[in-house]
Amino acid sequence: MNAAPRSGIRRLRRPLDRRARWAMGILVVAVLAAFLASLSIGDRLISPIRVVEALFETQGGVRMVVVDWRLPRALAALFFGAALALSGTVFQTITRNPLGSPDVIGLTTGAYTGALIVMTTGGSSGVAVSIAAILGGFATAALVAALVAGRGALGYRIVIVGIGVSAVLAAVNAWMLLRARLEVAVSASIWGAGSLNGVGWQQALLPIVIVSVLIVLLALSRRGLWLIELGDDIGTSLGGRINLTKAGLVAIAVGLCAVVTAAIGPIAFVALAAPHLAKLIVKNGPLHLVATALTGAVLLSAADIIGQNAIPGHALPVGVVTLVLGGVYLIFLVVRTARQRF
Amino acid sequence: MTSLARTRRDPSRSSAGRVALVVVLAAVALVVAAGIGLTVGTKLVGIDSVIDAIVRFDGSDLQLVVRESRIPRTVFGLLVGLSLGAAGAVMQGLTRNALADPGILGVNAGASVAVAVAVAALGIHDFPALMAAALTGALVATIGVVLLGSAGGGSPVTLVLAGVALAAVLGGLTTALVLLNPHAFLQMRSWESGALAGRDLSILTVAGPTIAVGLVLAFAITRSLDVLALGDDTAAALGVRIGPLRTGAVASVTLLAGTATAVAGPVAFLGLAAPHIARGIVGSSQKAIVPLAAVIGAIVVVLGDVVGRVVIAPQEVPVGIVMAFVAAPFLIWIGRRRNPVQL
Repeated sequence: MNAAPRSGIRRLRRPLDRRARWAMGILVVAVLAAFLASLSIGDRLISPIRVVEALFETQGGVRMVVVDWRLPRALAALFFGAALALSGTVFQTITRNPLGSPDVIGLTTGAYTGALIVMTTGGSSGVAVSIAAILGGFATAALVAALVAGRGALGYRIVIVGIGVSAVLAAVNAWMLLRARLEVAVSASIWGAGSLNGVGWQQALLPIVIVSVLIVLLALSRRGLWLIELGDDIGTSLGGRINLTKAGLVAIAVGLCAVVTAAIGPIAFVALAAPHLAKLIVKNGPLHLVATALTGAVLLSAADIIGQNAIPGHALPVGVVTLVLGGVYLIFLVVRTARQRF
Repeated sequence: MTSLARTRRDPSRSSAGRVALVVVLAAVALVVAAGIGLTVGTKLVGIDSVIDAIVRFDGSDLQLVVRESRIPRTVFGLLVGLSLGAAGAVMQGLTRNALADPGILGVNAGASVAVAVAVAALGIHDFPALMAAALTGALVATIGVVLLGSAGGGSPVTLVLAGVALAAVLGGLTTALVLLNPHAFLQMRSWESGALAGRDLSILTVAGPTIAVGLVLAFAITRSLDVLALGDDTAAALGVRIGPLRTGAVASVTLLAGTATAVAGPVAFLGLAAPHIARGIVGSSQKAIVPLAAVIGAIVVVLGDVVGRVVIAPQEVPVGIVMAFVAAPFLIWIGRRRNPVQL
């Protein structure tokens, strides 16, 4: 019991070893590659060199394609992927469960519910939909927290209760879609699949700014996250006001995931998978939040590129791609950890 | 713990009188539910008019409603409920897992994705072909989730999570297929929410026998499931052949859940809730739980369909959505227990 926290603290203070430096380097390269690829690949292929040139041009057709059309989408994929990944890592740390990520416990479904309430009652303004989605995410978090409160260690309980809550909300969503006019239903379903299609500067800018602010807040409170990771008792004895810290971190994490859902719809499994993959890459070093964010950015970007180009002539929503790939990853994860843990 | 489990499993506790009472009450409740299903809706119809519509059909609007809508819906509600209740009970008995349910474990999602492929990629619309697709999808998903569960060391939590993941992947594939094909979108939109409306009685000729075979299989293996509850090794020592039992259970779940999904779309959580209610009434013998869960399932679906018809009349809430509201809270309730996966 005593060795664990001490080694934990040592681990946090330890400078990066050679392996971690390599891993971080590779992650940064991967992010840049994904970014360039999403600017280059599309209906019209533009060579990466031409893309870089176009970024510094002030006018012209290529500039319009790259800067006005593809850049906001590419940036949104990177920032939103990072946001989901960080939200996931906070939730997984606080629930002490590798599966306790916001999409598994129903927060994205709840955000979708909030958005649908506004969309199907005739609200068309993007701001109203976004606010409703964020409120929906927070309300769902509060509901799940209330349902598991006072029941001892969280463990798998929060996952099972979360699956139940998200099932009820999914039924609510299905019902609202069914009652909606067909045009509303079609557009809401496409949004509900989680899509970056048609994301321009107008849709991307504000969420990117909010997400950035939240990421900065999270970075400032990362010490609290480490204390929680060490366990409540140890965290408290090391001087953390654990409950306050937890509340603040949960608020940031719900915010991150809800803003993304509000902007582009529910995205499955990035929040779940990115923290695990990042851990595989850099272990639990001091930079694991950075690695997690970078991994999430790569995952969402790559999934979006796949979705846009996998089937010629059809753009699949990025959420469908993450749902399928992430589901396969979850199966792998469950089978693998089950052999070791349960 | 073991001794408690054994006491609860002791058949002598359910005396003959108690069994008779449960059987009579279940039968009465089933008849009452069917009566409500036939008579209550946007229009109230007397039971005498229902009988008239069957035996003295005069072509009036009211009788048409009864013949074309009320009777098929009630019949299909009964069938879907029987199927899902029994399938859930068999799955829970086989996996000894309180969270087993054809919806949660991805069996319904397997049937859905197969139907989506049939509709979107192959352009199939006639019911027998769709049902064949649904059964194939359900079978593949059932085998898949059982294999995944055992690959993970056979732990109950693993089985559930593997099922949830499988359902997610299959759901994603369904969404992709539907989004790529706007025509399929329309057809799947109402089917996916689980509806009994607009089903023609003629599909009974295909769905009826399949469900009957599934139910007979489910009832036939209940005694073995009871022995299996003592553990694989003990059951084998007591003469239960585990392999054939598993095969029979998978076949029964596939036939029941696949057909129910083909008829009504993916209806989740009923297979979870009905066996739990049955267990609360008759104790833990599968011999009693499986048939009672089937009857409870039938009652709940028929009444749920009625609720869906009247709650926002003249519009309707599909029964699959009503079931999620009624039965998903069971999952939350089970999740809040001390040991969520124990039966």
